[in-house]
Amino acid sequence: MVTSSTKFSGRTAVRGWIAAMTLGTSAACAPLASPLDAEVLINTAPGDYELGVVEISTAVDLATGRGEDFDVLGGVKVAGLEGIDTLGRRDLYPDYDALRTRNRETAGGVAVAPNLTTVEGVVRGTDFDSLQYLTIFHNFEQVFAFYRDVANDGSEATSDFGIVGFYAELVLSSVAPVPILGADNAAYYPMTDGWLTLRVADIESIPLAMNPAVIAHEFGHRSFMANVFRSSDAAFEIWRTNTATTTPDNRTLRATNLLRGVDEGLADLQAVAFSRDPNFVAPSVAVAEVSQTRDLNGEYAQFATYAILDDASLIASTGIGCTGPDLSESGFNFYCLGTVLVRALWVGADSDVEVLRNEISPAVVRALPNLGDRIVAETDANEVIDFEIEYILEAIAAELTGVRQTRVCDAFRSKFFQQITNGLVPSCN
Amino acid sequence: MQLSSSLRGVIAFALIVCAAPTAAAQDAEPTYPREKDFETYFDRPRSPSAPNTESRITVDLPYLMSTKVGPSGGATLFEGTPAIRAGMLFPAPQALDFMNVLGATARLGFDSALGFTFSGSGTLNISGTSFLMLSETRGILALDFDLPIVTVMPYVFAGGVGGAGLKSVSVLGVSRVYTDLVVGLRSGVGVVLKLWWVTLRLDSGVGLRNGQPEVVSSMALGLMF
Repeated sequence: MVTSSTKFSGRTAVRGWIAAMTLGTSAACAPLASPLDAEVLINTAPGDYELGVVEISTAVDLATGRGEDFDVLGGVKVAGLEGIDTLGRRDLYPDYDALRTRNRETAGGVAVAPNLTTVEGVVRGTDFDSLQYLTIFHNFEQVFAFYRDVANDGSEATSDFGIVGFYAELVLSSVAPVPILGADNAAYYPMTDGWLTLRVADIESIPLAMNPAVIAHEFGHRSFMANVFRSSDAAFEIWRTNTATTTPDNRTLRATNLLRGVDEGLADLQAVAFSRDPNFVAPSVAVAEVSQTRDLNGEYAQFATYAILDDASLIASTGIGCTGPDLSESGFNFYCLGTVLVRALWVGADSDVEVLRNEISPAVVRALPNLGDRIVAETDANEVIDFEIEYILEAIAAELTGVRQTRVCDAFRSKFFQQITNGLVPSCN
Repeated sequence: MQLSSSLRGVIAFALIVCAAPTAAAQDAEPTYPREKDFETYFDRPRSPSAPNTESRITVDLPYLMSTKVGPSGGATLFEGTPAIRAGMLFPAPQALDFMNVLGATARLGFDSALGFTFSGSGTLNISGTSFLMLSETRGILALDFDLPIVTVMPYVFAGGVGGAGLKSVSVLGVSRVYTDLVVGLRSGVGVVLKLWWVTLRLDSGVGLRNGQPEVVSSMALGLMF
């Protein structure tokens, strides 16, 4: 009787242990889904960062990087040559969706495996990489929300599912994966419609991907792509043809440099609107020249104009060089052009971040499809792109009214004097 | 085991070349090679019928290496641990006599290593550091080929690894400290090259550490008696 009882107790104990282990395993494998509190690096004020607890609101499984709007993937290797090759294969990849699907397949990616722990209900990363991962997830959540709710971007930029490569690499080719870009940067790559956040090597302060404004900047490129070049089939074909061109002539190079300058500038504008920091890049860029040329209140932004981007007298007066190849040459520093454009919009917003957020930022997003239409209208039958700076000036000015339009046009006049005085921006006449 | 006369010649030539500069420097009479010493060495009995029944003690300084998938899921993390390791190898029981082929002596044994590792990552203001004390104990099955000049000892191993330490994340002066516990299993293959008492030891294998796969390897310089 005693033996029987002992056996029964033993079996019960074993069953209980198995049940407990099963539950434990289930709990360990259960998705870490929102709503969640997590400890991340937060930007409390311009230039100020600290550890803080935030709510993660769109995680499907934070432990593996899955989200409602995007997935964070490890091991992404974006292949440059294959990307260019797909652009020329219209038979296989007739539209952007097919092109994107193919390039995402080539880039690959696996679930991330951060080291997380939960302390008093707050998810924490227990090493540098895992803290960076949590911060990146939070940054993308915030940026998606900003573009939807503040910039009012209703395009595919905010509705399409995104991928974020965590410690991704841009390589020459998937066959010969020679790294082209492997550390200390963040980027948007239109071929995969995804972002690359690169590992940290020589950054001294805030890693670029942990700087939320940098993520807002990179998201700005997706917004530009979606609103300008995916707004119509014709615009997409122009983008496709010109991106695939490996030996552009000077005219095409000039148009491309201008467009890239506008793209970079407007991405900076949205980053400033998002972060409320006119010099958002400074905490993450050790090279003073880079941050000085992008500081909207800096000397370069104040004194440079479209006519004088890299004049010797400008460099002499500001001490800041934005020298380099000419607008019609490869290697042109398009960030400088971007700063001139954004400085005009910043002054047009009375240097007030709330005006920038509430009026200028949505107006810029509304202007982008019109810019796409203008590019289509001005481009010849061979789809060789044509672009002039007044196209974007007019598109933005047309989206503003009243005092704000007047202020912005005044600012345009000081930075783009010839375009305004020659009547190339009708909304500012 | 009998060596061909040509092999003896090669070894003798090698010793003459190696020994000559030292002898010349000391201005001593060139007494090497001594034919008698060679004969004594080469004529030692080594055959399956007369296995080397001595136990061996090993002491070495390994650099334990572990490569595993990092938090990014893609990029790998490397961990190198300098350690000290000691162990014993005994003649295998009779049940393993079938392994005593080609003049080899099967040996069973174990070794145990203790090491410390420190690592850091991040930037000046945001960083992570980790300090870990790691212990590894392995069972070893080896074949002892007592060749002329060197002893070659290929082996297989299986064992466990455990450790404890601290890791911290520091952000602009604010630190979070966490305990770091490691439990794992490892197995693989290796080889010991023994010249007189000095050993060079290399091994490689796979493991499961805290539920995640890892590739392990080590290289060590040590002594074997």
